[in-house]
Amino acid sequence: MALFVPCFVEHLQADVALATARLLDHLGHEVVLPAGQTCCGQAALNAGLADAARVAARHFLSTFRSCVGERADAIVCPSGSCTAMVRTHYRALLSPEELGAYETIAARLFEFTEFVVDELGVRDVGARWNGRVALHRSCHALRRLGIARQPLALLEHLAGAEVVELGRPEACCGFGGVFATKLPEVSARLADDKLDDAIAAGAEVLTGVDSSCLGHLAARASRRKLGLRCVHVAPLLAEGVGLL
Amino acid sequence: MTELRERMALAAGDPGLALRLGRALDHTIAARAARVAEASDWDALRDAAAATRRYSLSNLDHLLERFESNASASGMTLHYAADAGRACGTVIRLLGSSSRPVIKSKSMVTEEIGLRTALRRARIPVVETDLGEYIVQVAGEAPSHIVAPVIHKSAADIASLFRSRLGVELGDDADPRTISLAARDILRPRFVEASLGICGANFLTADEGAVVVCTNEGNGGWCLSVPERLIVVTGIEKLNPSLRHLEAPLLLLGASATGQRQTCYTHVLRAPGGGGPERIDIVLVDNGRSRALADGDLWEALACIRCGACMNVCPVYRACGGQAYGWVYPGPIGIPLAPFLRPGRRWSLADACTLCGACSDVCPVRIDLPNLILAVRARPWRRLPLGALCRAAAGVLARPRLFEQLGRAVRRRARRGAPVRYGPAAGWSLVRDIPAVPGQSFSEMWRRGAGERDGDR
Amino acid sequence: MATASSTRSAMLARIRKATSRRGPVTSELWRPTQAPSLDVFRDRFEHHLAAGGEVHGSLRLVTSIALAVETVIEVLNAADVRSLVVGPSQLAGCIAGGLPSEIVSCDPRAVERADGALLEARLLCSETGSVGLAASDIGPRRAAYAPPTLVIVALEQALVGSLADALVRVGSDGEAYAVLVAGPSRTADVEKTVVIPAHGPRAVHLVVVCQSHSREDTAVPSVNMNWQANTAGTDPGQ
Repeated sequence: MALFVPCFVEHLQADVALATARLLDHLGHEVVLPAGQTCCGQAALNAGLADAARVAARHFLSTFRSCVGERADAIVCPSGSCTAMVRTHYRALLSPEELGAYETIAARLFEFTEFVVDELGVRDVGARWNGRVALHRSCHALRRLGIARQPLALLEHLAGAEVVELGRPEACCGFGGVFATKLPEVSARLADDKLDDAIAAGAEVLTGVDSSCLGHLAARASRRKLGLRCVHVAPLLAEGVGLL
Repeated sequence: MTELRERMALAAGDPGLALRLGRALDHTIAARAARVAEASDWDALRDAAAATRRYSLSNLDHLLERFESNASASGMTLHYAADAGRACGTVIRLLGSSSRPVIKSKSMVTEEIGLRTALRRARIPVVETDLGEYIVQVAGEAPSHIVAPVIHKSAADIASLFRSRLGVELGDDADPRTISLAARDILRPRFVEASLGICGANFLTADEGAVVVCTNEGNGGWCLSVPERLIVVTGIEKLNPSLRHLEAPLLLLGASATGQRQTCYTHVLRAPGGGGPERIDIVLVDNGRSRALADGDLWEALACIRCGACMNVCPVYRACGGQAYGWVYPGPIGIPLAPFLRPGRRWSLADACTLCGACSDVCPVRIDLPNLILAVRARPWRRLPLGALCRAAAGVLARPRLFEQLGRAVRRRARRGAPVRYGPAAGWSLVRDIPAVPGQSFSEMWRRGAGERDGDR
Repeated sequence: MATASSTRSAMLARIRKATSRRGPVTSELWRPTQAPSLDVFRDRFEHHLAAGGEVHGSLRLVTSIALAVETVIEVLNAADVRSLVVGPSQLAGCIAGGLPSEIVSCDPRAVERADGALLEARLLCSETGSVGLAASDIGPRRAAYAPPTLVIVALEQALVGSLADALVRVGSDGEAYAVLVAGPSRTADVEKTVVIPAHGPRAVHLVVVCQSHSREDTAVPSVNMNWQANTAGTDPGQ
């Protein structure tokens, strides 16, 4: 499969993509990395720069166009929000002539846990990790892609792990892209609500399918000197298999 | 720091507000969920209501003419107000110069046009009769929610207010029942003696020329009964084809707003007389609605039936409350309405959203709020010269090598660990640390064969 | 200075211009028809009476006018109603005729001082459990809001199934005003705690005269509705 690496993962959280690639390899699938990836354009669209998002969308198309069918039969992305961006917003950004190529790609584009659980039919990746883990159901993955059951299934089959339920698992973490820097106090408050929820639930680790959310939560947890670890599900599982 | 940010920061840091608001919102959300669970055709109802509202907006001119014709034939007098100032002026003119007492039932459009303030300046005594609005009037505040005006206040707050402003003997431990009954006693004589009334409209129907008002407290009933003269103030977007078309909206309104199966009273007013006001004036307010209607992206915000469900589930609203938005329509729905109904400060509310999408999940008329909010954010960039600049900068998103260099620069900066103090990203370091960042990009690791476990291939 | 008609023309012109850009919109979606059901009505009406662990009113089904009179007397005694205003409708007058004359008030100005009101409802809606009162049956309109005890009498034939049926009935009766009432007045503005009463009646008692328990065909036209689009094969849900 082809790996679609979110821009912030590429540059700031390489371990997330590394874990994803190694897990897919561990599950017996060859992973290719199409060259020339930049960004899905979500941040630009979010900030009101629809034209910039269109540039990103076109570039995404050209980068992955030759992928499906020839080099890979699926595109996997370790980010719910980036996957959602392509699958729900690109249609409105691209021109009619581009839609054919787009639909081919979108039909085979999956968020990582969605791919493992729904496409590969795997719930147990053979990972072992002792501790209490809570799942943050990030907004775009949840509402646009219907993803929550899949990461939960993977966690439930994580040998040794105790999955604890957050009081408000679907509450927004407060990242929201530009929101995080435009209204930082509100962003921090929402992060605090989520972090306090995880701590009250007894979690040692807070995980999810979006490392943008988790990065913001981790950075806030660090500022507050909380012991809670916030990490994407791919590195968590990869560590559990000894791949990282 | 913008005013919005300042107000929101203050509100988000208030633990008392968090507790009161959280409790109230959780209660309403649970009540709504119960209604949704027991409905056999909730999604179908939303489809029907969404279709009715969009049909209405798309045919607003025809509906307005038909409404006008039928309502006038029934004896109601119609007035047209292009903007807030003219709407207030019309109401003041209709009330006349005597100081006869005026009772008023809840109407968000009257908050929008600042009617209470205008009446006060014109020295026309008016008393709000919806309990929440009455409390807001006594407090001299703005309502914080379009359905529950004092959702942000505790019973103790309200008891204290009644004590200090009205001289009513209520302890801080007064419960909601005691407070509500005290208000009943205070307002009863005002109802009885009222000779002028002002109310809003939840819906207007063209075929019957009817004004439909949904209330719970009975204050609406008093307002539609006792005064000799009634003034209905309504936005033009409230028009719908007929009473029958209101089935789905009415079934959804109670559940979405308060978790009730039905609001206690659904009033249908069609003509003067008949045991009620002898004269009925209807003030049809535009105040930017026709401009909103003309907007290809944002017009569907006018489909709103003012249930408040969107703000109940909005994380920003939950954290800050409604008054922090600084406008009569807070939460998600306020954002696409502000550019038209609130001239002068049009775009800034669009910052107050994480795009989580919880709002569109609960909107009874299926307004795609997150996409509308994105459209509002895109507006300033279209017209300014910055638009061209952006297009140039956007080129980097199609230039992988340039993008890689940009990424490397950001990574290096992050690895220094020092907080960001200036520029738009300073908001990050204000409340968060800079995370530990790997020294390489993923592509660099991949090229060095790190993708496989043993690095052989 | 803008004249009234120029403001109106300008507004209409703006709206016309705005809507001219709208494409055709899908036609309305109607719900499947629902048969009237006294059981469903009773269940939903009684739901509206309950709050805070208390019941603020009652529903009685009786089989004759005479029994209705007895029931109303019971209700008025239990609620300690000493002065009652009676609505101008035939049924209300008929029942009032059987009540002790000292409690029936004939002074229209006494509405605000009355303990109770006796009104006929010509519409009951089973889907919503609400009761429809028309202006010409209320009389001075505040009779429906001022007296703390509201006693409503209705014939079983007043029952319709869905809210659409009720709305169509309201729309076609030519009345200046109608109201669908779902229980006694209430507020939840203070900490979301439901308090009954708010500014209107504190209790609603309904007495329905049922001739029998089998449904006759009545003159009430049921609205023809065809389910369109979206959910093919939906059961009309009786």
